[in-house]
Amino acid sequence: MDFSPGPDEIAFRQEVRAFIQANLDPETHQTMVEGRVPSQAQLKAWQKTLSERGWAAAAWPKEYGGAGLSPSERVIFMDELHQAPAPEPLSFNTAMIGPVLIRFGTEAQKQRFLPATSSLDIWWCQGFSEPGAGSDLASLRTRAVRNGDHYIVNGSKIWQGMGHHATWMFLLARTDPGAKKQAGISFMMVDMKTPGITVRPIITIDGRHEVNEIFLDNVRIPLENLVAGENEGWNVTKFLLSSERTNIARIGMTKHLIRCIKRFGSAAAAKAAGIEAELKILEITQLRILEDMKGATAADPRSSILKLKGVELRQAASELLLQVAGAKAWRILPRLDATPSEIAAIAPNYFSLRAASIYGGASEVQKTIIANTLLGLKA
Amino acid sequence: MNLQWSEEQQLLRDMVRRFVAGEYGFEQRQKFIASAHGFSREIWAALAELGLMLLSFSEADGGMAGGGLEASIVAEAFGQGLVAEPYLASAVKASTALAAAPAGGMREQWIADLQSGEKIAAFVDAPELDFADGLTGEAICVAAADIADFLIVAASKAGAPVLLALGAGAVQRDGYKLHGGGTAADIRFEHNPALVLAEGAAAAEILLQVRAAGEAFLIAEALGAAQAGFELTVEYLKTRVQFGKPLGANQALQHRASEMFVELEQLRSAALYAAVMRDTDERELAVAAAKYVALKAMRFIGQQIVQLHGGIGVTQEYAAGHYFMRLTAIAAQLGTPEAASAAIAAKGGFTSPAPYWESAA
Repeated sequence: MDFSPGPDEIAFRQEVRAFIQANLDPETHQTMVEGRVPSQAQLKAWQKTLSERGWAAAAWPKEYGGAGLSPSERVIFMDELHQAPAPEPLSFNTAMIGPVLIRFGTEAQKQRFLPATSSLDIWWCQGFSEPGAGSDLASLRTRAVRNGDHYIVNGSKIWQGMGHHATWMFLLARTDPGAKKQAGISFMMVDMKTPGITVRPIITIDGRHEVNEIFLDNVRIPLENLVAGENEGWNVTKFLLSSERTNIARIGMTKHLIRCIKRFGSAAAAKAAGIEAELKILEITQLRILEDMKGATAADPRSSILKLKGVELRQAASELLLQVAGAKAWRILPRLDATPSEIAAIAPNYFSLRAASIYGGASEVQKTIIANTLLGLKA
Repeated sequence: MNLQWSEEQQLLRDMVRRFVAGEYGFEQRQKFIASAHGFSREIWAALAELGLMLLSFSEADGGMAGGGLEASIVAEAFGQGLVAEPYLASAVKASTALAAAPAGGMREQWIADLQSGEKIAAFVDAPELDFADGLTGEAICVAAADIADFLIVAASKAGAPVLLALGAGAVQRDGYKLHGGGTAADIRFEHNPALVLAEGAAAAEILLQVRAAGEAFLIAEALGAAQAGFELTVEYLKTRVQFGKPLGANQALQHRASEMFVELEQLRSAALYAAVMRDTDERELAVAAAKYVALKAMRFIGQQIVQLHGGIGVTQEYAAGHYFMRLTAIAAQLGTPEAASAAIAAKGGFTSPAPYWESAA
């Protein structure tokens, strides 16, 4: 047993780092270093660059424009992006709809959507949650009624991250209201230019416009945009949520925060020692789970540990960063996204990271998953 | 990178687990710790018979050249069975010190006596003790010093580290049993003659090795105890019925159990990390990090083992409370999370404040 990286892993890490150094636009890099949110143009340009190298959708098989990276290579790749720091490829595209189409899509859907999904020429948003359906996703009420060769869809969706930039949305809608909760749901895709779609911005406590609410008023979706069969949407959803799980610890992001904390001096650095220790040990946990997942087809339910601990440490680091930054971090600058000031982003980032234990399965939901699936404790 | 256990390591694990499960049931264990010396000579002889006293020694010294992983395999199994024999003191700490000491003098004879299990040694980590006109000073709560035949002592000579060995018979010792199992003695040295095993930098290096080996062993032992106590707790949540349903049907208790599970997996990683890194140059930072995580995990798991069991968890007659006590006793030997995090900070931690591309170049 040996935790030091082998020659292949060292070489791959160096290859990724050299590529990022050579190709990441300096302004985008500076934006990330200062903890600000990159612009739409910056994100598009960077993902295009990654896509041309085959790394935008690094986990996809090569035949669909991915790099076919192994789980441990993916961890190294994301770690380099997070520590650089550079933007992640848009997860709605590469970690959600892409893998779903590869697994469930028709040949025509793959041809039509996958290349533009990898390059971000199509910008996807996720139409899952509703005002009345959060953690209890299967209680969603958006209705899709078949009418000839279309579905007529009515309802509302919420929390679309970057939804105001999106050109397409994948969504869940109820196609059989008589069936049991999970059984009557379908997974479909819609062009955001379709008449009847309205996007309302939601400003979050960090002062930023990242998420949105989307209203669907008699929106016509062609039947060919259905993924998998009618009423089979819940299977697709379970697959989507589990394929999202290999990169949830986001250890590199927390390392970046620790680096920021340490720049405030040795007293600040000393306060970060405990978080550093837990992060180092979480890396070992991540390696162990990846090792056990080698060759496995289903996601390891222990991935919930990575989500829980990973988020806990990221939040703790962002909280400590705010604490060591002191009073200077509290001044609201008029245009956060345009202000080159690292300290101005610290408080908003702390506020914003509170959502990390809510999205992608709230921490309480993760604990219930662990109790049900790993410990056999059931209600 | 390689996360596979070797075939020999798996065989060792099977053997030690089988032995503990067969010979060290909870009832037997309670008899052993209630006996005059707080442990079983028969078990000790059987452990020697299994070859477990050879792990800390090189093949040149007639040993089996086990590393941190082999020691952690034994430790985890001992933790699961709440084994109270003085293995850590004698077969890990004192043996690691003797193994690292230069050849010559009585060293080879002592090694042979430890390997056969005929003698027991204790390790005294007390740099404040002065070796001038013999060894003088006090050391309190030294594990297994009451039953030891000889002592290996990390002391100071004219301000520099020195590693000594001396027979225990001539030393004034006040022995007692410990909460959580095991025994110890308060020692009073008064101009006791001792043999010098190593001096200066060599002695300092050996002390660091012994400390890392001891701490890695304790963390793995805590993993075993936490695992066993956790399994007992989950089983209890499934079978104990209150308010007309199993305790485990309550979400508050499900979540608590999940939190224990998360901490247990972190403790498992900490034990593995410490076991691998204790034999490397990075041992001080790595073991401090493992210790920090382990201390927090074992406190939480230990306390929750009792809490979720309710009243039965605070009785002597049931194992749950003993796992809690063992975990608490191990934590006391490892120190505090605050001390561990201070040690991490003193070493500069794992992440440099410099921008990533400069620091990782």
